Parts: sequence; C-alpha cells; structure tokens
Amino acid sequence: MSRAELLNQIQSYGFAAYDMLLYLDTHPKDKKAFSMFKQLVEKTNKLRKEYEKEHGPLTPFSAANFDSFMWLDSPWPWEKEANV
Amino acid sequence: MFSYNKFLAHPIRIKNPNPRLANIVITQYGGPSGELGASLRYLSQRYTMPDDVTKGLLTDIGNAEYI
Repeated sequence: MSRAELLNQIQSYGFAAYDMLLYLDTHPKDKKAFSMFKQLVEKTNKLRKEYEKEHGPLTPFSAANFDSFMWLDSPWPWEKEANV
Repeated sequence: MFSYNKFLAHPIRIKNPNPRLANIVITQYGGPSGELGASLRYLSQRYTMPDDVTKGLLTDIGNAEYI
C-alpha cells in the first residue's frame, strides 16, 4: 500500500474503533460490541506498525524504535506533503 | 494523560483557500460555545462523577474533541 492508502486505512479503522469505544462506554456488557472493538483495535495497531516501519514514528515515544531521532522529520500532518 | 498521534483524523486538501470561512470554522472550534471549551469542561468535570460509566464517558468524549 502507498503511504496515503496506509494512512487512510489507519484513519478509517481508528475512527471506527473510537466510535465503538464510545458505544461501549454506555454498553460495557455488550459482548458483540466488545468483540468488534477488539478486532478494530487490533487491525489499527497492525496498520500503525506497518506504517511506522516504512515512514517513521507516529508518536514521540515510538521514535525510540529507530536508529536516529526521526520525530521532528517533515512532513507534519497539517502540511500539503502529508496529504498527498 | 494524553499522547499525540502524528496524523490527522482524515486527509485535508484545500483547493481554494478561503480565509473568511477558515475564520468562521476556527471560531466555532475555539470560540464561545466551541468544542474546545466543551472538551475542557468534560475533562474537568469527570472528577466529580459518581460512577465508572460517567467517569469513563466524560473522559472519552472530552478526548474526542482533540482527534
């Protein structure tokens, strides 16, 4: 997947997971919802790992997983280059 | 406590910049009755909530305004 496609997937699955989180806050015993939440979070995490491997850290502390300090590297999310 | 994720919630590509519209949007977010103020109220008032559900709910809704 291209950087943009990968990022789009992370945004999509992350959004879905967050939505499921909000539902679970008011329905904590809903087993089906919790199972879907687990799937969505797992998928998001998998995609994030894949993204970071190719394109560098997504959080400041994950910058520790690389050989040099990449956290400050361009582009930043609000810049044109980050939005293909 | 919070952690920053270095990506937007969805891509943004502005073809025709419109500063007046941008001003309206940012005022909606940060101005009176805006989401930013609401977020801080959620995050401040969760400490007085009586049970886990309401503590969690206010936390997660407050958090959502930063996504």
